[in-house]
Amino acid sequence: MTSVRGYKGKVLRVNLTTKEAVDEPLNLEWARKYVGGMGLGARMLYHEIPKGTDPLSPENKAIIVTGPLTGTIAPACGKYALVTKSPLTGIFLDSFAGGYFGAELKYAGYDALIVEGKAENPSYVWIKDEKVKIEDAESLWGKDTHETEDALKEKYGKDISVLTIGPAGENLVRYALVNHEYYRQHGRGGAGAVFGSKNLKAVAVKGTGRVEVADPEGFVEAAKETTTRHLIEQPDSLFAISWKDQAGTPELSGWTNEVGALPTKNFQSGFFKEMGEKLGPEAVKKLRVRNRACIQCPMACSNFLKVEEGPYAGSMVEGPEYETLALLGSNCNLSDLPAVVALNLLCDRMGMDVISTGNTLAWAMECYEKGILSKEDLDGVELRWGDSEAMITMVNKIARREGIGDLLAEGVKRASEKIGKGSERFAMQVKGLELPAYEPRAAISMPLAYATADRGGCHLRSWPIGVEVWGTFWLDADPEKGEKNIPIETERWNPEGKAYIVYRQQHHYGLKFSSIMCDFALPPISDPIADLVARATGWDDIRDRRELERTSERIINMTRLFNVREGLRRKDDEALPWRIFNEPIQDGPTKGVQIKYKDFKKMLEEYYELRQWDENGIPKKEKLIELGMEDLAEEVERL
Amino acid sequence: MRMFVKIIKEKCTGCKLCQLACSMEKREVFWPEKALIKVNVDSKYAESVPAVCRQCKNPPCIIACKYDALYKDEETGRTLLDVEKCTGCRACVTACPFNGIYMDEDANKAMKCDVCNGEPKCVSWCYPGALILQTS
Repeated sequence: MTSVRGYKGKVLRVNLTTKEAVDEPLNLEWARKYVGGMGLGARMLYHEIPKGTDPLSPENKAIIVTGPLTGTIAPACGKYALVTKSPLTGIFLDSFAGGYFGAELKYAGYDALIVEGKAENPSYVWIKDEKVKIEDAESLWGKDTHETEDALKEKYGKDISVLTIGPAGENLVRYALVNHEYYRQHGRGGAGAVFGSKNLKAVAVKGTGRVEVADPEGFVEAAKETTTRHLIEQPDSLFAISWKDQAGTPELSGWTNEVGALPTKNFQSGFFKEMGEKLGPEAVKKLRVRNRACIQCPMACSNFLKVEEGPYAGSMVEGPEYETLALLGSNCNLSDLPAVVALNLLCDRMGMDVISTGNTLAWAMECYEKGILSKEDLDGVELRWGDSEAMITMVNKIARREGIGDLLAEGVKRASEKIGKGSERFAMQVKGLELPAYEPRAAISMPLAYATADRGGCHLRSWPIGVEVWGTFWLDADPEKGEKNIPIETERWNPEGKAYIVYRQQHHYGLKFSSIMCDFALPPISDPIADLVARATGWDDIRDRRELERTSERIINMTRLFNVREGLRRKDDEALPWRIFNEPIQDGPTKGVQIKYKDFKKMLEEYYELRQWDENGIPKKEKLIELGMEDLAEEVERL
Repeated sequence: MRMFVKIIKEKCTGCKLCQLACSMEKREVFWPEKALIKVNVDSKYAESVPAVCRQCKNPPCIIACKYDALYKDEETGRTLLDVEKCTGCRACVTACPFNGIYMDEDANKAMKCDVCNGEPKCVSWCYPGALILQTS
């Protein structure tokens, strides 16, 4: 292979230490095996950094990776990945943002950008097509994300795309994010701190080039079909939510509350009685100015809100998304939507992940309630449930690591280990990543989903709660069992067959986030994505069910290998929050529910068996060879 | 008769599918830079404004062109470009008050929307309904 359509065939490597920027060919063999985004990013990161790399050292790298559908007309395919070793979890991290940056990078001529080393002084990278400059960012250091983006757009024009960190990233807050297009974020896992550790304030790009596909006519036809059939009309989708014409992700809050899965008061309860009226989709719609889309997306699920009156009047934000409403809202017992909007905006500007921030604040509130953290410990702040002003004070302290903010900037795992006094028991994290807005006890399969997600406590590697609670859901056809995509029937609270659902869903997400398509597109089946990849690249065989399954499985094994090399084993998968197995949910439709550890253990064992990983969770050599990962199979026995 | 792509800017979400569809139709690649419609985005205030030729009744671009490269299609009222005659002088681009005609810098020629002969691809890809084919 010398070139493949869909890709630009080039990677830009920027070394901040030596101030050099070089073009390198994209490894097309890896592209063929791992597609792009999550999979290709994992393969590149595995190659780029050695085992045991300190995530905040110059040796760590930040890799921005697109996919073969980025920059084309493929619907909902504008997202792109930022891949690095996470300073929050110490394992693999891929974090996705929408907006325009990924497409712009491809129009500039690159499939991926690798940033390595550490700049002597605050710097930013400016990419105009294939001309690359490393510029001084002294005057931008200390500015928030919006001010930084304003300054760069003022200088280079409004049509550029910008990634930037805020004070949180500069101060190495372990869940600092990388911000894009004002309201888009590489939110999870602390990529912003990786930028900060490199003295990298921003990356700006403008591209004027093109993206070609192998079969233009067929590609446009398939993109149109996918758009109308799966994104707009969804005639055969079992998704209860049609994103178009509704309130986007806030629609989820009504559903999770109804089924007792909405994190409330630091995951003490799965139900928040004020959710519907005060924080639900109708409340969001009342403040909505208009809908916004990422590039390539016909759905425009994002809400641009403006608060018109009250103490937070003037606050404008794209959001809050469901996760924000839950983690900064119900999970902190806060039912004031304008306050959530203000907090969302503050987190964006400071450059902090709203999920980890909300989760960490809720943990601190519970510590305060239980007398584990006193008013003095909290620098004189009475951190009571639902006190938005106290929360705003804390966010500012965390972003600057002032006083108690220095501890909370470490995330709940490290903070609770340091404080002790039983606070570890209600630190709601998995592998260091604070849990998102799906109460793990509300579906028997969710603990397994969190335990086996490659970046830690994440709901976007599999989402079995949808299957479990709705009782029926689409799964990709199993190539061993037949050719048709099947709606799967299941029984809530029964562990039987749940490992299989997690296992198969991970394959779907692996392919989706490598191609790259947004989570909100399509019923959860992979064939239309594979068809678009095939028409973009000319790799027709990827449509074949067995080949597709093999590609997806290869991607999942690749991220696992990265983590195994870092020392991750079964005991780490089993280390779930104490609360899940030892405390029942306190209120709402799931009141009294707790998960039995033996059920979880049985599902985990079944999962390893399905994966053909050994009893310690390490992929077997034969499995890797079967998946075409011969280059890594030899190594696995030495990890 | 006047046939043109009408813009309802309040409905634009900034997805730029119109630019992608346009460049594929005209160039067989995805190349927003060469699209004959542009979406100018100001994300901070959630504003995005498409710009495309309005096929004006009395087009300033035609008046500005000294080489007769621009002319009216009698039947549909579209303003069309004869690329052969275009010298790349930019007079039309300067004259247009609506940012509706562009320079193809590589070819050193003007480029503009011809409403895809009545079936504009940008309109068929505009799901929020910000672009409408208007015939009056």
